[in-house]
Amino acid sequence: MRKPLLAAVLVLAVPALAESEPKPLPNTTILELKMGFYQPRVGDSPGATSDAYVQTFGNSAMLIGEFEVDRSFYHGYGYLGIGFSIAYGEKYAKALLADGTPSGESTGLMVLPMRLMAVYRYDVLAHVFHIPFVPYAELGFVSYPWWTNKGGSVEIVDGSKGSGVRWGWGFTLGLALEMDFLNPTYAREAREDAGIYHFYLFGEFNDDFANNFGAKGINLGAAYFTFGLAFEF
Amino acid sequence: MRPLLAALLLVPAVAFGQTLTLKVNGSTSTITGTGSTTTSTYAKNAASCNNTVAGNWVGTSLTTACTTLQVWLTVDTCGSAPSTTNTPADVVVYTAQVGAVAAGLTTDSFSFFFSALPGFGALTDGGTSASCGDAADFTDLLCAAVTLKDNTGACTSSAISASPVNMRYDNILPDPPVVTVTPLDSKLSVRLTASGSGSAVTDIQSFQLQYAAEPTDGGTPSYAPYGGVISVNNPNVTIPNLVNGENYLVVGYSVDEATNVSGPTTPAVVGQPVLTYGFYANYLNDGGQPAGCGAVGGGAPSALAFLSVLLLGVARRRG
Repeated sequence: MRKPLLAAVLVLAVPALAESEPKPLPNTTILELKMGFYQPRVGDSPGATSDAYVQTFGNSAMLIGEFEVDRSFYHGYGYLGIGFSIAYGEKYAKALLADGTPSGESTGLMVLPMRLMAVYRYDVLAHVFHIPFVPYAELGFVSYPWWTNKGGSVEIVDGSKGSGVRWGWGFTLGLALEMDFLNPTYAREAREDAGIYHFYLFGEFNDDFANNFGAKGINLGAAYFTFGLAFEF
Repeated sequence: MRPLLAALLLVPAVAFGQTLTLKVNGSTSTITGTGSTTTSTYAKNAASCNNTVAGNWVGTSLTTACTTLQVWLTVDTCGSAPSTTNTPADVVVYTAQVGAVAAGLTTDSFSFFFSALPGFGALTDGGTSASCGDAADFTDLLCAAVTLKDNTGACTSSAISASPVNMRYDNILPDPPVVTVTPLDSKLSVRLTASGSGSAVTDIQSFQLQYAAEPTDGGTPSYAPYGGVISVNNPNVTIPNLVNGENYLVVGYSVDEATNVSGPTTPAVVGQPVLTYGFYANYLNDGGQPAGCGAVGGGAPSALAFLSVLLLGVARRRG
């Protein structure tokens, strides 16, 4: 089964690759709106004997919303550029009494993840072979401003304020579905009238290591999936 | 069709645009033509017995007046003129002569003692007539009306009347509110709810709150007010800066439309602030270490600035 499929792919791909290098494409900007569920690895923080996130909020991830903008500086055999994203997520639960039962007071964790990433999108499949999938990868720095809340204000424990910024690195692996094929006429009009080259639906896997590169303090890194909508112009 | 048109032409009609408005110490009531609008309420308790109630009327296009313009108090409905049959009798507090109104008088002021409300005459107090100062709750109406000529110049039109102002005397204390206390960390969250049902609840305009540390020696608690005037629409108050593990007594007071203040909630509700553990406390208690980094107030901008510098650097390198 695999051999005929491989042969078919080769038959289709090799002549096209042999024809010439893909034509240089204009540098473009991609805007993404995405959402996902994020659960930090608090239990992996240095010195932590258990996971305070799970202890407080249960084994329930927080919903995050994220906005990303990418800009290419090379657009030929793929899309190579730089991207910046900013997200926000929060999770609330009841603060606990000494015996571990919920109190009448709320506590929360808020994060504002920011990422500065090198972006590579293999859009040759779509542009050369008209296969509407664009796999992509991102790698770069992450910054996680965070703060806690108890009873309506930032939680302070023995003079230690529950807020700060965690740094680190992260990567993303994703797959985007170029939606032009659904309505080629509309896609052409959007390109000609609004300058929007492509619309995408995408899903991606992210892994951030927001632990100040192993320094002491809370570990807000997480592996999580996000899904969203993007358009390239 | 023709008979209908003829009938319409023959029906005397008050000219459009004629209005009569009553204003009493900030309470406004307006009526246009023969329509009706919302009625406002002027509510006071016994503290106002000797007070003068000041007001004024404002009219437009009343130059075709046929009758005097009168303002009066009644225990019944207003109608187009003071009643001669009501018991207790209606009390006329103002009269504008026909000539004055017809000559273009558009507004004038009036006043009366609050104790002049005829409703006091309807009260009985152990077989004798009651007076302002007794525990009672009734509502009289302040009315105003004038009859105008119709389009043919005849005085057959209906009167136009101002929408009445409710004149309420309420000298009955409301019930104290229900106080619900939720212990928080060094704080108590207090919720005040009007007790009773129906008008007993809707009559409550605000709450007041007092609290005191419970004396350990059984002495008299020293209550202090907190929260000022607490709206019924936002009846949640948090008392801060308390000591965890100590008992505090909390009482509430209801304030009604006539500014009567209830007695305190009895018995006082006891609340004890308690230490709670938020996410960050749980993290530290689990062995987590403080980050040692600045608060987010400075951290977020610095992180953004750092990333912006990186972005600019990359962009310049491209250029």
